[in-house]
Amino acid sequence: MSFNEDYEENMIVPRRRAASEIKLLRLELIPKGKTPCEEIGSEWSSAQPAENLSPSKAALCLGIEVWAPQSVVKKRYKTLQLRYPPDQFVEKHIEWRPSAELLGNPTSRLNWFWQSGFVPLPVSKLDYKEGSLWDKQNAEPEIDSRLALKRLKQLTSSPQ
Amino acid sequence: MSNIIIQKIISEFEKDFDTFENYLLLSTEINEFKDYLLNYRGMPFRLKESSLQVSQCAKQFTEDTMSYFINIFSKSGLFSCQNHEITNILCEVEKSVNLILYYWFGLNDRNYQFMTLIHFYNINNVSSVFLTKNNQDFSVTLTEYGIKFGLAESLHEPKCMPVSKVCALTDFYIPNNERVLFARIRTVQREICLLIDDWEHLNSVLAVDYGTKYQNLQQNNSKKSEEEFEAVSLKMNIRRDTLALWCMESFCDFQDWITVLKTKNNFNEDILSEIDATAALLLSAVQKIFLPASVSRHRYCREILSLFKKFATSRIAMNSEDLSSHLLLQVIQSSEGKDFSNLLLSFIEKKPFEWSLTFDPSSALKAFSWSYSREHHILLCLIYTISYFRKIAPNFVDNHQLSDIATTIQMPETFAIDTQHKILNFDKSDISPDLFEKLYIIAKGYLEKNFKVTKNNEELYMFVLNGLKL
Repeated sequence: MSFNEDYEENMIVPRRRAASEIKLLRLELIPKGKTPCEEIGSEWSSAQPAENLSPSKAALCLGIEVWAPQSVVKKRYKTLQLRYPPDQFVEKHIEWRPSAELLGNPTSRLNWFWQSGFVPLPVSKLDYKEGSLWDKQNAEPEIDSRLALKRLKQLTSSPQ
Repeated sequence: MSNIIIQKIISEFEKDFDTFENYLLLSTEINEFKDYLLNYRGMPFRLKESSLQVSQCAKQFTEDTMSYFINIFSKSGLFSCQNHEITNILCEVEKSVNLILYYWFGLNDRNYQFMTLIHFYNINNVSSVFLTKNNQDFSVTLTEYGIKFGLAESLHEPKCMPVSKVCALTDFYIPNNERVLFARIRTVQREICLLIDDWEHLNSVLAVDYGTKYQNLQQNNSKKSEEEFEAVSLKMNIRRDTLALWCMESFCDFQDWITVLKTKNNFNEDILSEIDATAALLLSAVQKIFLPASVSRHRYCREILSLFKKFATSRIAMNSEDLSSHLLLQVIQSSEGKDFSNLLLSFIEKKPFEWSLTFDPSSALKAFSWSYSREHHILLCLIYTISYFRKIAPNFVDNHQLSDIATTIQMPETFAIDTQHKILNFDKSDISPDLFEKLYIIAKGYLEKNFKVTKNNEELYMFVLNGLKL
């Protein structure tokens, strides 16, 4: 059943679109069968013809970079930049793809999320150990109902 | 005694969570559900044709979830408690259960939540009495906002525990591992994003509901549409208070955590910038809470006032020169009928230039301007105006910004008068007329020097000048 597919686009959880009419309209504009995340993914790929990121890859990339610390992000982005001629880093690209500056600065990174309507993920599949505080071992899982219940149980059993 | 039983209930709930989750996932076996989920946006809607399977599953889901909890209660020895104890225990359990429901969604799809199920099965407010004791009935009720436990006649909204309680915030009062702290800060950032997302989602669901009923009333002014509109207004008012209270409790906890972390100040640079970013994110979240008050003129209940106060106090503890938080604190104090703070006034004299406004205080002024006195409003507006001019380099203010000031001045008039709650009389000895005059001259000076009056904006300009006069 298609329900049980492990959706890769859930790497970035699209904020549930609010039910106000304007927001509904925005959802209607998204082609049938596509999630908002896929839409953004395809916008990215057009801005990056050489790499042609698939939606899930774009999501994956975002997931990694966003949750890496300043130093790692800047380094990674520089390498990426060197691979492309400057004319391929067009304005639109900068708009859709958070720049190194943006991701490197935690405040602007969160602002970008705030405006984009995505919620950042605390988990990452990749390991970023060298010289940074971020690493896979310490990445926390998302809080889900089971973890919340476990912590609630600890709360109630510890003397107040 | 009560604590032990709560502990037992939570523990049983955890032990047998799989069973509960299976009940929640029952709907995936229904053919229509997939379609419903695709089209669901938080508002209940009817499927074109509802099969027998849906109504059978609805019945089964209702019975299963209710008896699931009743079983846990009976196993944990709840039924041998006194009535008042039962009420208290159920209140705590309700909060916990609803927090778990907040964190639950099915099939990796955030659209598939408890509320979705209630709407899909059309079982909002289905209730069952599970215990009759000394003429008092206790019941469990399934609602779109969660599960309700308690006295059968209780009309309360389902309560939910703040999310901050399960974010393991206390672990870091003594930081032992920077890597773990780094990861934890990012978890908290995510939780703030998610919580405000929920706030926006639920508020827009309310707005659509309200809007539809309002339109009905406009189109056919019947008794029925009038009653529906009244019911939805009441629902919206109560719901906004409950939601704001729930969000603000978490925001206060998060802010306290950030304040403690910040005062330690011996962290790695990367960590410090993450903490600062979290503080900024939290501020933008709190500003969202003002919106129903400043935009839709919702009057928040008392409990929310004290949470805003708590938040502002915690921010001031982190940064004593945070003028926006000082203004927020004063707004709340003014609406409680308290005196004007000398500290805030002293800012005008002591701080010559470039204050940091960590957030736009006009939303706070607007949100509570209906309740405090005219004099306090003018004083707050004067300070806001002066700080606004000082904030902007090189102090030039355009039409748009001036109209921000004008709408803030105008705000109290846009509320319907509420003599019961508005503070009409204030202690005149509190503030001298000289002070108003002094501040007015400063503000006027700024306006004359840093605003270009044209034919188009002259009216606006005069409105601001007159509005700031006592």
